[in-house]
Amino acid sequence: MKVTININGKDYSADVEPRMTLVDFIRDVAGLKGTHVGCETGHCGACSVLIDGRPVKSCLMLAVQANGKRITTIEGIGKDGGPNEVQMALSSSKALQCAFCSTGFVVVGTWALEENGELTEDVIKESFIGNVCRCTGYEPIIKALRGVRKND
Amino acid sequence: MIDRSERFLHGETRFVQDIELPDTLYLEVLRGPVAHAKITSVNGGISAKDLGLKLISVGESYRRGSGYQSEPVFATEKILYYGEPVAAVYDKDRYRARDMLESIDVKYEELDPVVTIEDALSKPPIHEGHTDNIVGRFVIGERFDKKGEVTVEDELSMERIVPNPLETRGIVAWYNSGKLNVFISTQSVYSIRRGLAGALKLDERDIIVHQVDTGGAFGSKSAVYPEYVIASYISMKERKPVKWIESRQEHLAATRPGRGAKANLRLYANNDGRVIGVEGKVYVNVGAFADDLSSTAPSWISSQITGPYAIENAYIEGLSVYTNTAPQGPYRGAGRPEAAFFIERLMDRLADAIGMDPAEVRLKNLPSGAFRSPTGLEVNGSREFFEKGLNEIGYWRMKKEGRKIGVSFGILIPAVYGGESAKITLKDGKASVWLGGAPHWQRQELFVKHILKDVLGIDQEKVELLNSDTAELNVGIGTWGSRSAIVAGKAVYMAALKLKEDAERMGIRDTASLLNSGLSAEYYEPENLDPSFISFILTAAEAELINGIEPRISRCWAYYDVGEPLSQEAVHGQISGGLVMGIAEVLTEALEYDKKGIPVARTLSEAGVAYINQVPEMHITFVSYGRSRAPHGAKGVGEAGTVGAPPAAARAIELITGKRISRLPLDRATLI
Amino acid sequence: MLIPVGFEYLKPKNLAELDEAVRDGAFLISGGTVGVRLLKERIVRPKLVVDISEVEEAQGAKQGEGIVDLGAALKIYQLQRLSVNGPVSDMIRFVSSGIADPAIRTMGSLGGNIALADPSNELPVPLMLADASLLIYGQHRFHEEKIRGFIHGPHRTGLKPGEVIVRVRYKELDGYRWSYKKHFIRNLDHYVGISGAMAKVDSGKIIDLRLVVAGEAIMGFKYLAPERAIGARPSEAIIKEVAEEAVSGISPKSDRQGPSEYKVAVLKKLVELSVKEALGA
Ligand SMILES: Cc1cc2nc3c(=O)[nH]c(=O)nc-3n(C[C@H](O)[C@H](O)[C@H](O)COP(=O)(O)OP(=O)(O)OC[C@H]3O[C@@H](n4cnc5c(N)ncnc54)[C@H](O)[C@@H]3O)c2cc1C
Ligand code: FES
Ligand code: FES
Repeated sequence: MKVTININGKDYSADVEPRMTLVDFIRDVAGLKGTHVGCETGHCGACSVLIDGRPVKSCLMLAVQANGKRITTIEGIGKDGGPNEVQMALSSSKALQCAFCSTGFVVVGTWALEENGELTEDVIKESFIGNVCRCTGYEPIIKALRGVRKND
Repeated sequence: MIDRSERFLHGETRFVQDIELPDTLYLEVLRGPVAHAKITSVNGGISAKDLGLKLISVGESYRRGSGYQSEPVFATEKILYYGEPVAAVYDKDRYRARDMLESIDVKYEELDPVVTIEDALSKPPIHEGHTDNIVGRFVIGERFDKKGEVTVEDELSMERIVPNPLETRGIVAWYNSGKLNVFISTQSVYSIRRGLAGALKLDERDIIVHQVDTGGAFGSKSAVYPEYVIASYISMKERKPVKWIESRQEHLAATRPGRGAKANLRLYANNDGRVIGVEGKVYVNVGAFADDLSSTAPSWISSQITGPYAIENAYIEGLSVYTNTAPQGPYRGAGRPEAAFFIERLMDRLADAIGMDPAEVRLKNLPSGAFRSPTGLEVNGSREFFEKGLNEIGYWRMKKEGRKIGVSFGILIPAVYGGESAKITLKDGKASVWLGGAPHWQRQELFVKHILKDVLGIDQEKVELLNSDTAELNVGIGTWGSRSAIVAGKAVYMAALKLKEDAERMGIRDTASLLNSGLSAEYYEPENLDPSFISFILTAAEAELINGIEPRISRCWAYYDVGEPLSQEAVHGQISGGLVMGIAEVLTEALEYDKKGIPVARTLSEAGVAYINQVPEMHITFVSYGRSRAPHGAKGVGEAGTVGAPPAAARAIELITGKRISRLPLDRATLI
Repeated sequence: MLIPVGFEYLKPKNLAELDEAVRDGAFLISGGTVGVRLLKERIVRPKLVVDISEVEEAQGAKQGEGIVDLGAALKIYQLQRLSVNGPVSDMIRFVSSGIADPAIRTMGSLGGNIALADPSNELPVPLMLADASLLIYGQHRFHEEKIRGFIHGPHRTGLKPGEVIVRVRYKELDGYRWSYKKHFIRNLDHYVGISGAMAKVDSGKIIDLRLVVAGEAIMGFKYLAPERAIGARPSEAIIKEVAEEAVSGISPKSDRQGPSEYKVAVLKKLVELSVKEALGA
């Protein structure tokens, strides 16, 4: 089936099997490997991407379901060619260890900041309820992001 | 130079799942659908009969002992655990490979499964030619007669846990021009090389193992697994790259889980709280196959049973047993949390029995100065540390305010054995560093940068820590057992010193010329355990009830000795990560099996990993309670949280529910 | 890796196209949060998957003459910001905000949440309290069914093959207070118990009290209107009695979520907490 998905502003078209998951389209068809697969069942958030600005878990979606949609992956996140507020906060306070989870946290965090204007402790705890980090114990991530505001 | 953390935050990583080589074949593995069965036929795919390799037999690390049943590549006559590889298929299309799995026909007759330690002791042996299910028997300490005025006893157990790094296991194997190139997510490129050489009967010099970005491990990525041998074998046959990425469900079923330990212990004491001795049995479920590490686990646990205390008598019998469950392996702490949970629970029990404050009971039993326990454990100065720590976290004040604080005190023995290697190359304006222990970014680059700045005056931005690689550094060990900061740190330090001398001799003075000098240094030296490496850890916790029923840890305190902290951030992250894992181990996390030996959890969430809503308010203090003997003074930290948190959290929950906790995870039956 | 069996895929734009598309053995998905996992695990192996998320008759929300009318294709995040008024709608907003996580809420739909009839699905709770009706379409005709009779048991509903829920309608319950409590051990896992309560209290007397309990503790959904409470003054005794009634006769199975008695105790506690709050006691 012919599918066209706009990823990070660029159209990717391919003839794919309807059973192909969105995450496989992103990684294998578009070749964007920053979106990771951690669980395949919607329980870890490593595969988070934005569709029309809102987060989805791309392992739980078929590529055909996203046909014609606009997707943002980690590769399309940033600000003026550099890191955005969430990326800056996470890197400056070293809230990463193995970093397998980090792209999912950046994607969801970017949405949460857009949505709320500021990342309070409550916003952080609610927004990342579906993202697993096995290494940090989350506390360094919470600390790093707490108080981050959108600056335009 | 692009900093590693920036690379990660922009998604520019190279995990094994991200590697796509031209002409890759994708491997899928068909696994045993039951825990115990006699195989009558396997049709389709490749299986044991095609391989001709019966055993993995990964060289000396697995077969040092005698009589251990080591793991076959494919199940042969019998399926011995749910998830055991039975056959495999491959194709250049990943989706088609998955479809092909359905064409394999396996016929089998189910057998009565041996699931628990109790089953193992009462049911017939799972292995042909064995007389029982016992792997190893150990006796630690000596019998003693003096028993004292009070006895407390308990059956304590810690359920199995799947390590569940967020990245599952995976490999790309490529046999090319007589060399097997392996790209892998691992804790040790050397144990992979040794294991593959043993299983495939190859010369180690013909195997090059490249660690790629590794998404966590927690013990699960140190061993050689059947899938690695299968992938390599197919690549040797087809002369193409073969890729295998584990699904989460395969990880839950077949990646080596940790813990699975039980103890029946008695603590003898006097009414004043002074402990006379500890006695009893420790059992470990090694699963269907054993290796040195798992079979000797009861002895390793028992040797630490006196913890930081001056307990004069100890007599423990240890037993490791086979069951029809996945082969056991290390999980963050590997034996240390078991020992701490056992002795700390008994200390709390003793406190309750004699009506004394649990911290007070611990103080009564802590030596001032040095003490050598009957199991051979040497501790020095634990009492002063504990006293100070209690004050620092405000234990007595909170107690006075009526708050219910659970406390645990423990030791962390780092796995320094074997030492570690490092290599530094100064070229093209930067310092490139390789470690023997495959970094999966427990933030090793932070201490590496710290040391290079210290010794050579090189700025952080000019230092790059690369993934571990046998092609760059031919000898080394691996990363586990809270060892990296100590042994890898020492190796980097020594290699840096060597460079400093070289530079001085050559008259190089400024760092700019140093960084373009082309100088390179390697260091490797074995290490032995020294009491100065052992650190003390005081953990405290406070709990609350959700909906009036479900306990949650609301606050925790860590007062940990980390020696000379090489990087504040790295140390902090290791502790917070460990604490949260330790708390989850009490409340939610476990690999439970049903009566037929099939794992109950099928998703990450059902496995009970901690999510952000389980994170307590944390008060982490690390102190330098003396430098270690290592030249840079570091001590271990990676496993501290998983050692300290479980007993403290269990006590905190006990205090608010009034119900005794003897097994982990928390048995909800005790809450009503 | 989890990969579905091969299938064809159709995405009808309206009910007429749906009629064309649906054939024997077709599997419907809306958001796919559960359906896609069933496919990936090969628990379902359809030849055809029909995606109903864009069926135009199932979109949008409106309110008129006291009736709220919601399209079954509405996403859970859209329910979080419903611009309709009244206590039932308030409760739906609240319940929606606590479902799974932001990503699942972007994808998952109202219709999917009802049609699954998983005891951990939450939206049936406020809808059963409000005695909502479902507008169902299939075999070229519409019919309406009350949600209270629609869910027969865990994963069992009155839907026949090829039928879809198009709209969900309920009347606002003006003057009612509500409360919603749920209990889980593991995050993103099934709920041990769920209890939703709605009550109207006037001059210190209970005029109406409704309760819906769900979750693993009862492996289904149960609606109760405890008669004994009507006319009484809110009190600890009444609350206890209602809780007793809610859990009477249930015997959940003991499993990884805990022993049977634990689940019963949890549910009872949730009923107490929610009834107390709904009564303003
Ligand atoms: C990790 C995770 C956590 C979750 N947590 C929660 C939670 O906390 N609370 C909760 O309530 N749910 C939860 N869910 C369940 C699920 O996401 C929701 O129930 C969601 O609303 C389902 O909607 P969907 O559109 O994604 O359904 P789909 O997956 O598209 O469909 C599910 C089933 O419903 C049928 N169906 C869908 N729409 C219709 C319709 N309009 N008419 C007839 N049949 C239809 C489909 O045929 C299919 O059989 C969770 C799911 C996951 C994966
Ligand atoms: S891979 Fe999609 S949520 Fe884990
Ligand atoms: S840093 Fe490893 S999973 Fe988050």
